[in-house]
Amino acid sequence: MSWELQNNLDSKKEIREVYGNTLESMIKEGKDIMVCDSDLVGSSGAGKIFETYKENSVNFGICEQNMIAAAASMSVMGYKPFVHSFSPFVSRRVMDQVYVSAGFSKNDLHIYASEPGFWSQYNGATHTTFEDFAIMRSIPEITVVSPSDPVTFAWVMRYYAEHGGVFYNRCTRRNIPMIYKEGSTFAYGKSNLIMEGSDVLIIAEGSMVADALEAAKRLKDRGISVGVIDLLFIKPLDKELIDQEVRKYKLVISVENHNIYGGIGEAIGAELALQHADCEFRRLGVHDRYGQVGTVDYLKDIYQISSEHIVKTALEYVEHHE
Amino acid sequence: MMRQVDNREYATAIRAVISEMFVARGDGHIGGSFSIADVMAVLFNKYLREDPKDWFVLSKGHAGPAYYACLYLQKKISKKDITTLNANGTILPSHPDRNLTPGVQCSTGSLGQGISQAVGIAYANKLKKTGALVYCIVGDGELNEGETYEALEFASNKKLNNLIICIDSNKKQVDGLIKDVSCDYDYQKLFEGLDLTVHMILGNDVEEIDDTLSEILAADDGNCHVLVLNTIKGKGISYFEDAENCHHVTFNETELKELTKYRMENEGAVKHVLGITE
Repeated sequence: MSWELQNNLDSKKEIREVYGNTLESMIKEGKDIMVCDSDLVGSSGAGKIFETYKENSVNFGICEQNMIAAAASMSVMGYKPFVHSFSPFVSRRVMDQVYVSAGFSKNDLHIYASEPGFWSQYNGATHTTFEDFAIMRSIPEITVVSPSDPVTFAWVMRYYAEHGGVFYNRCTRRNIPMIYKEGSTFAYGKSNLIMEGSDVLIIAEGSMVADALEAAKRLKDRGISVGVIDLLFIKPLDKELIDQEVRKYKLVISVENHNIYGGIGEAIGAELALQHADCEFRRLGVHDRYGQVGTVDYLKDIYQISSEHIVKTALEYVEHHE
Repeated sequence: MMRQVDNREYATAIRAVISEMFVARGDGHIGGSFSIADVMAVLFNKYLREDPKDWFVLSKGHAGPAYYACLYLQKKISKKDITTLNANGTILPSHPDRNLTPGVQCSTGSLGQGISQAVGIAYANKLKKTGALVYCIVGDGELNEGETYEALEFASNKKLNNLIICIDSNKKQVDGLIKDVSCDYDYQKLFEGLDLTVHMILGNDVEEIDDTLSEILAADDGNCHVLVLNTIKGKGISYFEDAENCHHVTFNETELKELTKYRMENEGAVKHVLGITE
């Protein structure tokens, strides 16, 4: 594991471009990749794979249940299948197929669940997942990841292609900031402590890591020392890092683009209780609501999970304890 | 694989082994296990090859005992396992588990998924040009599941000529007749409508099954073929054939006697198939 931070959030990359490019390079390297989609070939960023590499791609049509079971089963012939759809159609709709035909069968499957949570934007509740961590975390032996940036996203894809297993890779397709420098590598099951402090520790998942860094900057301006953990692995949880770090802080805040039920707040909260951690704990997440249409900023605000809300939560604690 | 024994005798042996499992267990999915015994006999006796390794997918996973009977007759599982169906720590769970039972190739039992697994495996084999064939048995009740049509569309689109789908049309599901609980299917039109080649045949007639499979393989016409097997649920023991519902039965004394009688009367077939001479 060797990663380096960008140190600013100015350079960005489109995840869908990373998806297509990473798949293409792995195919060119001779890896036995099978890229699958369910009528969203033009959306995932893997469109060029379907045009150019017919032997390495298959469009299942709007048949996600069949896609999950069929794609996972293709791994019996040595393929490493990658499937994509918008997050609800590769989580809520197919939980049993993931459970039986992928997990229980010990087949290989990489699920790219795109536009999770508020990233569904104008598609509303039907296309919004605030429950997919809960669904996927509860299936035995499934790896659940929430990359914070293009570099972690690509690393997860390559890790799966090398090692197999069942991966639920939950990430937007959009242009998001690079948190890490190109070429950084990570370790399976390990979270990344990307900022060290002493007062408040923010543990964030996925694109919320960028919001956590913004919040940290603003809190620093107010004289508060902040640490940030990029969780990356939702399951398995990096208990070692969490146990080690939480002891150094007075307040721990978890932030997630997910329902508070079954999400990272619950997972971290349970860990803090098990370790008898001597710190305050706040969890920011969606409070049992369905999705709705809107811009990302509007939705973050409605669900009270923006950097603004992280700052507010930290300040409320500090003011109360001054 | 060369034909080892008469298909009819193989089918009888399958039913006798299933009977032994059920007597030991006291309950089981007898209806659907017995209705497919004839097609299972033809496939395991004559068609499934080791090289190239053909695939068998029991999409209607609740008929697991019929699968286990074949694996026993092929000596992939042992005699002592036969009496452990669903017992604690068994390697014979009611629904097949590819990571638990020697010879089981796919984990099925969640209806609709086996046929999806079969189309995936068939497509992968086609791309890899292995020459292997995939045989998949789907229940007629299972066709209630929307996923089966997703899989059939895929089979049609990819012209999976290495996949043969057998529909066990025993006309009954848990809650009653298929036509009452679901609808009155016209399989010919339904599957032809999906651009698949359909064969409506007597599903408890080993000769008709054997002839149809031979014709399909000889023709090699580039299409995916569907055999609609007109079967009788519980076929083999008239007591169960006549029952209103024998999907899953907790056997009473009379029923246990029927099963024991069948097993005793047909022990010779089992031994013959196993190649044991008295």
